[in-house]
Amino acid sequence: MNRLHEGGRWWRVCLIAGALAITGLFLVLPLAMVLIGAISKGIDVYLAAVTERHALAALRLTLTVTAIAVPLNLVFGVVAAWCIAKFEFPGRSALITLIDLPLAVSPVISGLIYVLLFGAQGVFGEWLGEHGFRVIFAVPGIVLATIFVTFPFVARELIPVMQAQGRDYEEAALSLGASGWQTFLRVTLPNIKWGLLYGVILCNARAMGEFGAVSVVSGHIRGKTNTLPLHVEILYNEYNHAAAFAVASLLALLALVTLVLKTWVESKAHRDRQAANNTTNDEILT
Amino acid sequence: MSIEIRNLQKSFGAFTALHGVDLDIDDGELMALLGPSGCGKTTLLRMIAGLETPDAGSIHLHGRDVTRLAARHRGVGFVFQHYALFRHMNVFENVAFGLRVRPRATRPAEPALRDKVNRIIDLVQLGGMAQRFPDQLSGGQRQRVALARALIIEPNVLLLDEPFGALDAQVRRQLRRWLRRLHDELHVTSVFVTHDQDEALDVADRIVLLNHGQIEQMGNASQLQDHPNSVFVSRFLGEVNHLPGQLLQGRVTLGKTQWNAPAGTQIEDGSVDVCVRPYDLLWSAAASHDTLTVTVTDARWLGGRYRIEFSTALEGVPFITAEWSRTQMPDRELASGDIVNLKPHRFALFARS
Repeated sequence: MNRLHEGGRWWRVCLIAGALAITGLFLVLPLAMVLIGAISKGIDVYLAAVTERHALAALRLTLTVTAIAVPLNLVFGVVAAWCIAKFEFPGRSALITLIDLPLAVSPVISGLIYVLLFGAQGVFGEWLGEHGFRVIFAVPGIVLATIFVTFPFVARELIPVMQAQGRDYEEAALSLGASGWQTFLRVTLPNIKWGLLYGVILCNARAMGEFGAVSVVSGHIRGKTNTLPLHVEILYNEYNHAAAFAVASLLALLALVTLVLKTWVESKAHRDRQAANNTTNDEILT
Repeated sequence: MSIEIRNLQKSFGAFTALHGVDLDIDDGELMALLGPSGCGKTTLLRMIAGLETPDAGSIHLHGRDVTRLAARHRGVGFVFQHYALFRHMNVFENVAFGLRVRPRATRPAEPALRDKVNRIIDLVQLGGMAQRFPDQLSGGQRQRVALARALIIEPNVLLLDEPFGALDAQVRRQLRRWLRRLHDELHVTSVFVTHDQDEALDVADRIVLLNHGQIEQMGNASQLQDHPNSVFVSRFLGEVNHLPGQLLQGRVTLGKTQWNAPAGTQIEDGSVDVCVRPYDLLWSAAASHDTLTVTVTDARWLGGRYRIEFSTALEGVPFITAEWSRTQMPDRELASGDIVNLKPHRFALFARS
C-alpha cells in the first residue's frame, strides 16, 4: 500500500462518516419520522386513517391520474425524443427548450396556466361551461396539470440515448425492407428499453407526488378532487397529525417501491452491458 | 445495365456534395467509388440506397426509376461502415431480419427461413456462430454478418460503405481477397466506397475517382494508373514524382535533360507537369542528354523491392523516389552520396495551369 493511500485512510473514514451522517439526518430520519408518526397513536388509528373513505378516494384518484398521465407522457416522450434525436428540422432546438419548460417554471405557475385557460373566467372557460365540461376543480384539470409537470422526464432520458445510437440501425432496418413501425418495434425500442423504463419510473414518481400544480387546479374537494399529497396537507392542517402521517406513509411506500424498481433497472442495464463486455473479451482471447 | 445515374445533384446547406454525376454500372460489376474525404462518394452511395434524397437528377435500378422510391422498396443491400448490427439479436436473427419483416404473403415459412439463413451464414463462413451476439464477434466476423444480412434479401445491388475501414491491416487484406472471390461466385452488382487506392485497385473491376462532387476519371486499374487525365488522378492513385518542365515541339525539357513526349500528346507547347511513378524510373549506366543526374540520399529494402530517394538539381524538386526490384538494381550496392543517371520508362504530361 502506498503512502498516499495510507495517509488517506483518516480522510476516507471522515468523508464516509460525514456522508452517512448527512444522509441519515436529511433523508433517513424524516422518513423514519413519517413512519413513527403514522403509528404513534397505535396500529388501529393507522388502519382507520388509511382505510378511511376520503383517504381511499385520494389513493384511487392518485393512481388514476398516474395511470393516465404516465402512458401519455411515455408516448409523447418517445415521439419527441425520436424526432429530436433522429431528424434535423427547423425549430429542433426550440423544441428541446420547450420540453424543458415544465422543469424551469414553478409547479404553481403550471397550475395557474390551466386555470387561466380552462377556469370559469379563462380563455376556453365560457365555451366549456356552456357545454357542461368541468376541467378546473375536477379530475381533467388534475390530469392536465400532472401531464404538464411530468412531460420532460421520458424525453429527457431518451434524447441522449437515441442521439448516441445515431441513425445507422434504423437505416439498416429500412434498407432491409422494414416499415417505419417494424423498425421502431424491432430495432429502436429494444435499444432504448432501459432508458425508457428509467424515464417512466421517474415520471411515475413525480406524477404520484406532484403537489403544487395539482393543488392550484384541484379545488380540494374531499373524496372528489383530492390526491394523496393534497389529502395529507388537509389532514395536517386539521391538526390530525397521526392520520396525516399515516396517509403520508402510503405515499412514502409508493416512493420506496419506485426507488427499488429504479435501482433494479439500473443494475439490470449495467449487468447487461457488463455481460456483453465480458463475453467479448473472452471470445477475442480464445 | 444495373445502375444508371443521370445528372445527380445534392447539397447540404451551403456545401455541394455532388455537382451532377452521370454513371453507369453494368450487371455483375464490382465498382469502387474512390476519392478523398468530402468528395461525395458516400453521399452518392447513400442516394443509390435511398437513404438520401437527391436535389436533382435520376437513378434507375435495372431499368426502373427509383429516384423517389423509399429505401425499403428498392431491394438494395447496404453494408454500413460500422456494420450497424442489431446488438440485441444474435447472428441468426440479424441475418434473418430482412426475411422476418416481409409481409406475410412473401415471408418464407419458419423451416424454409431457417434453411435459408443457415445457408447464408455458411456462405460467409460463420457456421457455428449463429447463436453469438455481435458483441461476441471480432471485427472481421461482424463485417461478414453485415454482409450476410444484406445478401439474404437477394438484393438487386449490393452497396458497401468503407467495408474495410474499421479493420486492422492484416484482416483487411484477407477480407479484401475474400470479398472479391465471393463476388465472383455470386455476381451481384456491387458498389463500394473507399478512400484507399490500394483497396480500390485490389478489389474492383472498375474505379470511379471522385473529387469535389464530380467524377474525375473512371476506368480499370491500369487505365487510371497509366493514363491519368489529370494531376489529381495521377497523385491519388499511388505515389508519383512530380517534375516541372517545358514542352516544345514534342520534347520536354527539365533542366539540361530532354525527354520525348509520350505518343499522342495533345498538350500545347509551354509549361507542363511531368508525372513519373517511382517504379517507372530506370537507371542507366552512362549520362546522356535524356538522363537525369541525381544523388542517392537513402536506399531501403522494403521486402520485395528497394525504395531509393534521390536529391536533384532541378528547380523546385528537392527529392524524387524510385522503386526497383532486386534485379532492377545497379550491380553495386547503392549508398548515400552515389551519383545515378535516371531515365523514365513511362511518364504522363499535364498542362500547367
